[in-house]
Amino acid sequence: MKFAAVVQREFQEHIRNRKLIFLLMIIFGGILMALYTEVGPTANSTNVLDPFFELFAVLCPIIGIFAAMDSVVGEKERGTLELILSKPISRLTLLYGKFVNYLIIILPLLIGELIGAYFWSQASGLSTQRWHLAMPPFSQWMAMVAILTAVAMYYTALTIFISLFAKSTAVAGLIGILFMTPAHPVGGEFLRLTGLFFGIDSFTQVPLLFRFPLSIFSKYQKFAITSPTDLAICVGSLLAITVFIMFVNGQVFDRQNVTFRL
Amino acid sequence: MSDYAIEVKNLSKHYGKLQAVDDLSFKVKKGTSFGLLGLNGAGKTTTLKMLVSLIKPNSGTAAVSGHDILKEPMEVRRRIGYVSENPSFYTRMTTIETLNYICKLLDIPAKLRKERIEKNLELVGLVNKKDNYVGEYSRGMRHRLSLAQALLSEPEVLFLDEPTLGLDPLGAKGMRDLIIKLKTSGDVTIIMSSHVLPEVEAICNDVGIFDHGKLIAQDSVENLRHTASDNMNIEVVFTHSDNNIAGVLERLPYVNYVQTENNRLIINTKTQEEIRPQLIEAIFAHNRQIVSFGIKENNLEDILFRILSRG
Repeated sequence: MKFAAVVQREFQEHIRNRKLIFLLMIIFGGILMALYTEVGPTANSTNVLDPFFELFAVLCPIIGIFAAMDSVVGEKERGTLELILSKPISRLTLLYGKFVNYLIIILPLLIGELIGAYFWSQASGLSTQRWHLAMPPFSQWMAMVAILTAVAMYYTALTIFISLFAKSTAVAGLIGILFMTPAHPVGGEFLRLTGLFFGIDSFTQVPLLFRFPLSIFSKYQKFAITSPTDLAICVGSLLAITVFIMFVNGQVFDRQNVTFRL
Repeated sequence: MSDYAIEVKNLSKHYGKLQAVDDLSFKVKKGTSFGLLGLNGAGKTTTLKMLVSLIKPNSGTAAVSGHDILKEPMEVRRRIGYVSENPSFYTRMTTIETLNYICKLLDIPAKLRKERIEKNLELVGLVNKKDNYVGEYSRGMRHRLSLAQALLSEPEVLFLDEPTLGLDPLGAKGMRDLIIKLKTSGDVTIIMSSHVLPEVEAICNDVGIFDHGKLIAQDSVENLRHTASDNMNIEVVFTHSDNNIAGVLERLPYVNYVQTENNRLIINTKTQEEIRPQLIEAIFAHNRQIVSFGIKENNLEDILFRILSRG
């Protein structure tokens, strides 16, 4: 009952502070950008999935960071943690309740809007008329959605971790953005140079076991969309990292001094 | 069953090199009210926060209502109410939503919630604000809401950390009256820290004086008043003001000093022994007429400073 109460309160808060609407608009704006602006496909693109993935590989971390950056530090700033933790509720219930609420907010919006975008580009003929490219198979589109969803969850958990130690909500957001490097072309370039150092120029040459940590890089995520094995590695790995980070978050929060006021 | 609501044993807490609470031990009897006194940084708030299991001590232990704060923190929190020095709430929730949320965290059955919430809102005078957002509240109203949420669990022990801090005189009086009402109406044990000494004096049976994380004195206000004083203040009011009499009295061997304020004199003596007859004799010997004559009790402020200055 307490877990449900926390999730309900957090959800209510996100509606009242307009965060839910803002997230909805970020995703919707991203879709509009991918479909109607010059973010469009590159010369190497085979279908409209390319511009979508390039844009959302950066947007999804931002969504996770934006949703969770005030998760713990925000409560410390406001002093509300003392109110809640002086009641018989475990810190794990509070933290996991917050995380579940973020997923409840982010996942339906992200999955729903991305699936909607697929059918909209198909129905409107945008793909063929504007870019003269075929629509990708729906299964491939869903592979992209699965990876992006896992990326958003990973960054949500990571931002909660940052929020446990940050001095303010703004600082938590900024540090979260620094952690976005693997999703950025800089991260891709780092992977390319590292590959060159080891004489590897394709992900297929990387042993399977070493592909797990690569799943945080958008370059590998893009590769994984077209390879079922890599898709499983990428999504599985991102989910496993998310679960691990949340476990660590719980342990840290349980031992932390929560009474500081800024 | 123990007779004590609070039993603290060798409790210590440090933040880095700062020793906030140092080997603290004390007991508070059930149904009484205990005041924590001391200057800023003396360790009062840290002690309260350890007792409500918000922060963990580095060593030592304590039991609240018979439950260990380290081994059974949930049981402790179920039995207490806590009003922090700066009550904070979710500003986008209404009063009723806030109290409902707290009820859920306290496992109060749904059928009891409405009645319990209304009873406490009535007590703190916020019934007509129940649908207002807490963000619209003044500081005084937040303090009252804080007391209402603390009472939802029908606590055995109520912890109040500077309950009137930052309130205007009217708000402070309202809050003080509420606490006194609680003290007299139920068998709740009240543990309160405050800088407002008359407030502590009015509410608390016993007080503990904190200094640099240590409890340097614990007793009833009356006993502390007696033990902390090695001298006495005697107030004499004359029919007319007269500066000469002050000089005469100051020359007496058992008088420390004399303060003059119009026709009123405060005579500070060197001893607690009965010297009033000698004083009256000396006054009458100079043909002065007295309107009133009596011992001026040391207030808690005098006692606090006296004990702190002794170290």
